[in-house]
Amino acid sequence: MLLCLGIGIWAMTRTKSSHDFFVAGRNLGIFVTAFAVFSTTLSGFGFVGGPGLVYKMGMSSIWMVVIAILGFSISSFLHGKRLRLLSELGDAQSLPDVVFLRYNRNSTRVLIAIAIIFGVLGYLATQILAMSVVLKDILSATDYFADISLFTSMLISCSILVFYSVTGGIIASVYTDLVQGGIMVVAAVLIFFTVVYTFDNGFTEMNQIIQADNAAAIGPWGTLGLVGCMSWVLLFGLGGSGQPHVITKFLMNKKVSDAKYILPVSVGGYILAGLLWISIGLVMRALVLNGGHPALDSPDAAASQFLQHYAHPVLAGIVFAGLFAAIMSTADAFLNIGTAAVMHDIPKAMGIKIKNELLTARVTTVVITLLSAIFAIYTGDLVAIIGAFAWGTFAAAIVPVVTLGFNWKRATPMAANIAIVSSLLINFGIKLCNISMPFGLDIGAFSMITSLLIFIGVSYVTKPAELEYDVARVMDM
Amino acid sequence: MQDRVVQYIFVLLLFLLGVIVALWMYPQPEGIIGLPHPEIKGMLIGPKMDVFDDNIHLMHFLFGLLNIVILLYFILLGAIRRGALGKIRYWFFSGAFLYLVTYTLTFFSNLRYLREEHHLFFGGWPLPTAWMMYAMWFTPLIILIGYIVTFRDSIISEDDELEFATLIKLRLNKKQGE
Repeated sequence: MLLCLGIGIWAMTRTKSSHDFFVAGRNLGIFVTAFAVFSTTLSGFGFVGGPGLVYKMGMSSIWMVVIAILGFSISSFLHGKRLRLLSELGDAQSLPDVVFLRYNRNSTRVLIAIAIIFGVLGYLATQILAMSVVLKDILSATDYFADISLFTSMLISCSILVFYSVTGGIIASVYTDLVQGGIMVVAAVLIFFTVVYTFDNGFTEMNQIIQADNAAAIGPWGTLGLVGCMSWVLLFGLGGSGQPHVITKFLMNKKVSDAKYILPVSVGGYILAGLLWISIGLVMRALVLNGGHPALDSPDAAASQFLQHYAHPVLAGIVFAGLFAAIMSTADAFLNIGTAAVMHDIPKAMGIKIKNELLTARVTTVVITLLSAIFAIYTGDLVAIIGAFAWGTFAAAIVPVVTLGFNWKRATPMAANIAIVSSLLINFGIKLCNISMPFGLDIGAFSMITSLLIFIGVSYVTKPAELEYDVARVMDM
Repeated sequence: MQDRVVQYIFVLLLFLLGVIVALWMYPQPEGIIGLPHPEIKGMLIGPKMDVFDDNIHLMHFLFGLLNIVILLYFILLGAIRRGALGKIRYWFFSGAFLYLVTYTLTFFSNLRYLREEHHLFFGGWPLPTAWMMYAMWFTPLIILIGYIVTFRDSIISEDDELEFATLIKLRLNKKQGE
């Protein structure tokens, strides 16, 4: 945490304008960008939520890791070039800026910004909840804070997060991603070997324990079943290209040709870091099943319980450090994107000029943090479930408009607007009305499928926007 | 060519929606997406094999297959450059074919796994899970390697970058003129 705060203060000295605050001056190198891409994807979701889901459901959630190579490839093929070129052409500071350049409509810019705000509130709530859960778990093991409540942990977490984000902007986020990514890769490999040696016969014995209790849990679809797992494959494979906190990293690298190296570095990092997700979840399930560890109060406690009881204290400390760095950098990225939507994208679309953008950005950051914290307290869901819903919100709104729309000249602004609105209505409607999805189908995946169909269908029956000459040339490249 | 790929994506999505509607209308057996563990709070267990019938197996297989094919078509969309597929096509089609094969092997291997009492392990995992972890996870590396190796031919050439630099200059001049 102190290291992150230090990076935040250093980043503050490098943040001179809103251009620096939002897109890091479009000056990032290959490794910084690649590490930012994979570590912002993994975040607190991967450290806390992922192992929690594995503990709860067996192999089901591991598809979110298994699909990574294909998923990152989709983002690189569809965004690595086009999004980067269009953002430089239009001197974009945010994703809605690039959307405006493509569709030439302020309505599309506003709607994308609104979709982003909804997703940010949900995803940020995930990060805050993850940080609070782990902080509570660590502090309650001490004498002084033995009775600390989740609410108090959340207050502490939010205060640190706000200070960090307000001082450093996106520069703090990406450089913390670099540090965090490095820690995660090293720690994940060490944790993997720690897990292997927890049982005498390593993974085989561990998986046999799980299998003896319930064969399906260690089968490829886990307890959720094929439909749930493969809907996550679609949502995390294709939906990854609709996550603003990930794809806006493609706005920030120095040269478009860097994409050639960003893909393999980010994939490699994600695979190694994903070992932590897989191994901790499975070993905790096996330990609880064979009586080696008491049942967990909550699946979200799987990671912190393993680290506190089975890992070397130094290794546990390093992993916790990486976890907090992961949460803070991802949360900062979301705050950055949400702030841009509120005080840059929507006012710009409405022709409102904000005085002192940098100060207003910082105030907006505080407000969004508080709203997300309130959402985190009242939702009552697991970290990973909130995260998956927020991921789905982004995917359903952004994949048609950006992933498909930036690679298909026939896409129309009317289709974009209708797709965004319908994605939000379907996604939130299903969740709020508690509509049961068949056979474990993920809500976000369903919303994404329907919004894609609507987007393509409406594009074929409406008139495409006239593209500016240079935008059309870039779309042909 | 882009338009044709999008049309295929549209048709595939329609088929996928059709399978989803079929699943929605089909009676869902109890516990098919997991049951609470009888002894351990917070843990789920999977259903027994006898809750699955042939219709469910078919719909499941199609659902998974369509998801994968849609993902592959999106990669294809991104691989089109100036209306054509370059050298990436060899890497793409071989990777895509192998990926579909490994999915099929995982699916059918899992059917057998859930029926049998004694389970074969490979590399620390039950066999169908080994297909997932070793094959399905890493087969897309073929496409990734193709991306790197054919980057200048299939993604962006140096001529494209020069043209882009010219477009930037023109836009800047236009802005200054305004």
